[in-house]
Amino acid sequence: MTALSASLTPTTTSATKTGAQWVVWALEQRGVTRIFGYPGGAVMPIYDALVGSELEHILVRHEQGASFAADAQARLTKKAGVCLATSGPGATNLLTGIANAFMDSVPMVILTGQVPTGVMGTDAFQEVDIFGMSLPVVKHSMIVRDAARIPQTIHEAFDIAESGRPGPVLIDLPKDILQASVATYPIEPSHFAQPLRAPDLEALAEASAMIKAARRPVFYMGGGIALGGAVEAVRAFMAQTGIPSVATLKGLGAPDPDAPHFLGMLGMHGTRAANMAVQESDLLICCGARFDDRATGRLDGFAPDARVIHMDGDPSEIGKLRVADIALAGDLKAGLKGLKPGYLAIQDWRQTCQERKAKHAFSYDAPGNGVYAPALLKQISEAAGDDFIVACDVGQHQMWVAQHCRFPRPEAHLTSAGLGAMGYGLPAGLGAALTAPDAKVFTVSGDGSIMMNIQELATARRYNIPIRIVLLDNGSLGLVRQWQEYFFDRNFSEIDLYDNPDFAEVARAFGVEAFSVHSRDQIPAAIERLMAAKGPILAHVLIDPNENVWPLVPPGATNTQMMEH
Amino acid sequence: MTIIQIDMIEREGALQRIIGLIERRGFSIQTLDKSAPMQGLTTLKLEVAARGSLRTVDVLVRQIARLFDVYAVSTLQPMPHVMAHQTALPPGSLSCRTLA
Repeated sequence: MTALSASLTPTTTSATKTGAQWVVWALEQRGVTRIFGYPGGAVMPIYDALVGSELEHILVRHEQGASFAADAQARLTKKAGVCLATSGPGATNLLTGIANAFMDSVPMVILTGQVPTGVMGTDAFQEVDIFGMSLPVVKHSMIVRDAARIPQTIHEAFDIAESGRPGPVLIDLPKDILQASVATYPIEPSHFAQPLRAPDLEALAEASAMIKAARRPVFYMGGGIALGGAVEAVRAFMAQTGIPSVATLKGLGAPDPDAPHFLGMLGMHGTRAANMAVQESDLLICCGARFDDRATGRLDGFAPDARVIHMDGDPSEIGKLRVADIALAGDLKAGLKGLKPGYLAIQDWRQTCQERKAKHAFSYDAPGNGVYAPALLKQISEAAGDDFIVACDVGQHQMWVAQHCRFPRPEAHLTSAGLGAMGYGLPAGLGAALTAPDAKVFTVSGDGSIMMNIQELATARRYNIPIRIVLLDNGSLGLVRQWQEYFFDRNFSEIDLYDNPDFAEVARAFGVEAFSVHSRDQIPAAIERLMAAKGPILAHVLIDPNENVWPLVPPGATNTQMMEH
Repeated sequence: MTIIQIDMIEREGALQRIIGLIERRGFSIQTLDKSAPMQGLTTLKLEVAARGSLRTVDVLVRQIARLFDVYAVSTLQPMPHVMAHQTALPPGSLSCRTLA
């Protein structure tokens, strides 16, 4: 017997259940109360076992909706969201959602049915190798070939998904395994959970000295802060040091949005104050960010004079794209608390950054009486206040949300950051509204994105989910149009959505309350109506088809080369 | 060219996962030697070459170490020293998992 198999040897047996019943039992044991899914042939034994169980099953209308809804729930709770689909097309329809969770480090457990083991590999009906197809976009994955192993496998999947750098874990469940009646073993503590390692004390001391010596330091925050439970530590560090700070798309909400030295988002659609501070800095303290290309612009021109302290929960992010002068891999919270730079003589630098922040603040006095989307989004987030949660789709509206909404905490901003998956907004909003029923949950979408998962209006109606959908309609694929306008010589290609349906009518056909907004003077009443909604509601907002997202760093440029109006 | 040694836990898909990661992360596999499984572990020796100048073996090793099918990973010849030094991580062997 091997050392490995010895650790997995069962010691006692239990009552007999089917594999499918063990799936449900194991989820309940793990504290799962809600799953998102869609039934089909290979997974029917689980649907059979769900009847009468404690689990709430949310029936979506497309498996991708299940994956995005589970993703949103996980982002809010920090516990793995669970989605369930059948083999073949059910499983492949989950793939975009799995990739989304992988790119944004979201804990998820994905259960897929599979054809019976005896016919696996024979091109059986609805057979695809979802295990193989998903390998590049999962944190881990398993095929269960022994029904008695189901509870332990599910337990381990949750440990893997939720610990260390979170991510999606797929469990493929052949139908005969789900139908087998077996006794199983007590769940043993798994050795898969990844404790965060403590930061290196010597590196911390060096980092503190480097911060002390810097004259133009910038604190660069990413999504790893929320993942590492380090929001309070970040806010304390910012308050204590007064270092000018910037955030990535996923880092928004980590800093107090009203913090005096917070300069906003950096990168392609970042603020001038944030980008210029980074470019002029002599020290970047990178905390839970990964030098993503949308943040850095041309990498070899990014913060050219800066030394780098890189703090990250995942050691493999350090040095991936930018050499770190000091690496602090491990627990961000402990790392931040261990930085003791003392008094910083950076008053002139703070002032430079402050002046630039004031000079280049966004303006909302657009001419005319048309709806100016940035102003509308700002007003919505202010009206919702600390209860605000927004699930974005992808496109111009996504960038406007990032630029103009106020995020009191990271969980207020649900966005498909790494993958940029159109279609995320509506199902993610549903997952968020189910998870946080007392919050003011909005989905902000566009006329392109909404059509990617518009079928989930039926889910909203079925469960009367209080989701407020703000659909910004410019009659085109706006961000693509903007790029064609500036980087492809106005050679507009396949971006015109002139034949969109009347989205308010579509929503009403699904049984969802809806209304249209055409002009600026309708906005106060529209926001009031959205805020008061107790069930799903859609505001179809017509905006200027020529409006663009500014600033914009052109592809291949450095972040100093921002285009503006 | 760098030789990487991986002690891989014998699980379904483990080899596919490791090879896929190496290629996806910008390296080509020049040679691959796989031992027979022993006590639940298999040893892989791979000779890898970076496809682009941005790719460093040091980062690749840490990406391999993240995999749950990897028990230990090391380079059998010195890594480009700059990364190992500047990331303040121990060069050479990275023990990732315990079997018990």
